[in-house]
Amino acid sequence: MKPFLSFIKMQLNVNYGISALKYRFTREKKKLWEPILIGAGILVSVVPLLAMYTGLMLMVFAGGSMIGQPEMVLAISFVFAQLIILIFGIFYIMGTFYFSKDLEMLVPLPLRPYEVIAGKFAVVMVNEYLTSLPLLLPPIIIYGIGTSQGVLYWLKSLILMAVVPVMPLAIASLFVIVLMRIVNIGRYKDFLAIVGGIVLVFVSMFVSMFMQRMPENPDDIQKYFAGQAGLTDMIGSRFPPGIWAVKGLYAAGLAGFGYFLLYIAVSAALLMLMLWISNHVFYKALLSGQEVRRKRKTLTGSHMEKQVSKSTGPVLALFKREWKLVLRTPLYVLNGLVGSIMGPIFLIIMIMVQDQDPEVAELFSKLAEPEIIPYAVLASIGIMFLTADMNLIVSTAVSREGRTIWIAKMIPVSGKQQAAAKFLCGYTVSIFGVLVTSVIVYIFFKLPLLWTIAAAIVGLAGAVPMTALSLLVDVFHPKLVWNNEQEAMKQNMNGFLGMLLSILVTVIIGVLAVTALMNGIPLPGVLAAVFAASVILGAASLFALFALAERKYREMEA
Amino acid sequence: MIEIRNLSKSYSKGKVKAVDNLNLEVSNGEIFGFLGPNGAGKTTTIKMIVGLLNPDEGSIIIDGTDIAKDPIEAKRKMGYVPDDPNLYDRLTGMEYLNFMADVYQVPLSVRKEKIEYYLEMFDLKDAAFDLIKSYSHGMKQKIALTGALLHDPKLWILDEPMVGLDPKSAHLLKNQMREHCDKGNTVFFSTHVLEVAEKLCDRVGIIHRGRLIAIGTIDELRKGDNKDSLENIFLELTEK
Repeated sequence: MKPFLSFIKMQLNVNYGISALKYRFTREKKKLWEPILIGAGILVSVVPLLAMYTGLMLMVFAGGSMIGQPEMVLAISFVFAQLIILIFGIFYIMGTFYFSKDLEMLVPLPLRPYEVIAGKFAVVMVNEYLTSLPLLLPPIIIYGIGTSQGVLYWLKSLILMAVVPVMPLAIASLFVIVLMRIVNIGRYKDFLAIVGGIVLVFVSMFVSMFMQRMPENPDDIQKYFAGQAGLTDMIGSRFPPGIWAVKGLYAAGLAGFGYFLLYIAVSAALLMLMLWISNHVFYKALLSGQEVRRKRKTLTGSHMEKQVSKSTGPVLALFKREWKLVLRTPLYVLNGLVGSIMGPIFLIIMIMVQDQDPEVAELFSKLAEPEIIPYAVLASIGIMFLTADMNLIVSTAVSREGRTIWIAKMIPVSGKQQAAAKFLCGYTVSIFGVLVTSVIVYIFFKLPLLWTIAAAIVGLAGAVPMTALSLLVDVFHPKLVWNNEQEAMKQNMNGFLGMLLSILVTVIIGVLAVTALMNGIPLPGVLAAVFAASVILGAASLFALFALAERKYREMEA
Repeated sequence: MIEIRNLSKSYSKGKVKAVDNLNLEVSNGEIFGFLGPNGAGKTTTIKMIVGLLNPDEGSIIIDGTDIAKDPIEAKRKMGYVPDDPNLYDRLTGMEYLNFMADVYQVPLSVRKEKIEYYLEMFDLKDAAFDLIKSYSHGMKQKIALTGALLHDPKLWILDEPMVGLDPKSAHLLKNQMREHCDKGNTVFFSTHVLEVAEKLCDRVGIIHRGRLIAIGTIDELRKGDNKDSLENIFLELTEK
C-alpha cells in the first residue's frame, strides 16, 4: 500500500506543482507579485460569474419552492455538474491516461497497471473539483439555509461533494479505456484517438440531452407541476444514479440515508470495475501507443530537391511550425481546436434535439421576424466572440513550447515576430469559429444573408482583441514546465485566465450593444460601434502584446 | 570572437554563485575547450553566451556585437547545440532543418547543399523523413548539430557535443570543428572528455565553482612538464 500512496502523492505533487510553488513562495520572493497578480485576476473574473450563477440558482430555488419542490435546485445542479464532468472528462482522461510523458517512467516501476491508473485518476479527480465545487456549493448552501437543514445535511453534502466526480469520471474512463484498446492499432492511431474522442463526446451529449428532455406528454407536464412526479424523478427515471445523490441529500430519515449510501456504493463499484478492466487492458493499449512508426525512406537526389523548402520569412516559418505541432498532437486538436470549433456544432445538436418541441420551433421561426432580427444578429456575434474567447490554442501558445523554449530563445527572431506568428496561428482558429457560426446562423436560424455577412465581419474584427488578449496572458506568464501535453493545455491556468479575460470583454461589449439597441439606436449603428470598438481594442491589445513579447522573450530563461 | 567581461550569475537569490566574475577572450580561428567538474558553471556560461540566460552582471561581446544590446544580430553569428537537445518531437528531421534554415534566412541553394552534406555525413539520410520522436539520443544530437550549422555561423557553441555520438560521428564532428577553425572561424565547446580537449583544442579554460582557475594552451598548463597529462592537471587544480 505504501508505494501506491507515495505514488499518488508524487502524482499530485508533480501535477499541481506543489514543490515548485513552495519554492516560489520561499525562495523567489521577488517574483511573488506574479502569482498574486494571477490570483487577483482569477478572483476578479470568477466572482462576477459565480455571483451570476448563484443568482440563477436562487431563482431556481424560489421557483421550485413555489411548486413545492425546493429540491429542484439540487437536482439541476447535481445533474449538470455530473454531465459537465463526464463530457469534459473524456478528453481529459484520454490525455492523462494515454498521452502523458511520465508514462515512460512509470511503466518500468513495480506498480500494477491499476495502481498507475488510480494515481492518474486521483489527479483528474482533484482537478475536477475546480469545476464541481463552484457548481455545487451555491445550490447546497441555498437549499440548506432556505430549508433550515440540520447537521446531517451539511455532513452528507460535504461527503457528496468529495464523491461526485467519481461516477462520471469512472464512466468516462471506461469509455476511454475501451476506445483506446480498439483504436490503438496500426498507423493512424493518433487520428483514430481524436475521431473516437469526438464521437464519444457527441454520444454522451446526445444521451444526456435525451435524458434531460422535458416530458412531452401534456399529462406528464401537468403531473410534474402538480408535484405528483417531481422533476427529480423525471430525470431519475432515465439515469437513476444521477439522482440518488440528490435524494440522499434531501429525503428525510432512513430513505435519505439509503439513497446516500446507494450512491456512494455505486460510485465505488464503478471505480472498482474501471480499475479491474484497466488492470487487464491498460498497458496493452498504452505500449502499442508508444511505438512510433518509422518510414525509413532513403533520400534520393531528386526527392531531396523537393523536400528542401523554398525559404520563407521567420514569421511564416514559425506559423507553419506552430500549426504542424498543433495538428500532430491529438491532445491539442481535442482540447484546442475541437473546443472552439465544436461549440457552434453543439449548438446545432441542441437545436436538432429541441427542434421537435413545438414551442422551441416557434421560437426559432420568430428569429426571422423584423423586430427580433437585431437581437438575433447580436446573439450571433456574441457566439462568434465566444468561439474566439474559448480558443485554447492561442492562450497556451507559449506554454506549449515547454522544454523546446530554448529554440525560441536561441533563434535570431525577435519576441515581437514570435508573438505575431502565434497570434496568426490562433487567429486562424478564431476565423474558423466565426465562419462555422455564420454558416449555422444562416442555415439553421435563417438569419438574412446580408446580416449574416455583417455579423461575420464584426465577428472577425472582434476576434482580434480576444485572440490578442488571450495570448497576452500566456506571454506574460507562460507555464513552461510540464510533463505531458495535457498539463500544457488543460491544466494551464493561462487557458482559463485568457478565456475569462476575453469573456469579460465580450460581456461588457454585449451589454453595451444590447442597451444601445434597446434605447432605439438602429442595428447598423450598433454594429458600426461594435466594429469600431473591436478595431480600437484590437489595435491596443496587439500593441500591448508586441511590447510585452519583446520584453518577455528577453527576460525568459531557458 | 568572444569577449566576456566580469560575467556573474547566481541562483537562489544570490546564495549559489554559478558563475563568478568570469573574464575570457577567445580569438578567431581558435578551438577553445571549456572544462570543469559537474556543476562548475560550464553550461550556465554557455547559456549566457547564446542568450538563454541573462547575466546578473558583466557583458558578452560576440564578434563585436553585445548580446544584451543587439541579441538578434549576435545570435545570427552563432550556432548552438545544447548538451541534451529537446527538439520538436512531432516534426520530421527534414521539417526541423527547413524551419531552422527559414529562421536563419538561409537561401535555397545553400540550404540544399548544406542539408544534403550534413545528412550524408551524419548518416541521417534514411531518417530525415521520420518524426524526431522516433530518433535516438545521438540522432537528435546530430539533427540539432545540422540545424545549428546550416547558416554557416562564424562561431560554434557546443555543450558536451561528443556525448551520445557514436565513434564515427564523433570523429567526423572533430574533423569538422578543425576545418571550421582553419577557415578563420571559432569553436567554443565544453567537454568532460579530457583526451578530446587535449588533442583538439588550441586553448582550454578550466572553470571551478564558477571561477576560471586556469586558461592557456595545453603546454602552458603543463608548465613545461611534458609528462603531466591534462587529467593530472585537471585533478590537481579542481581538488584544491
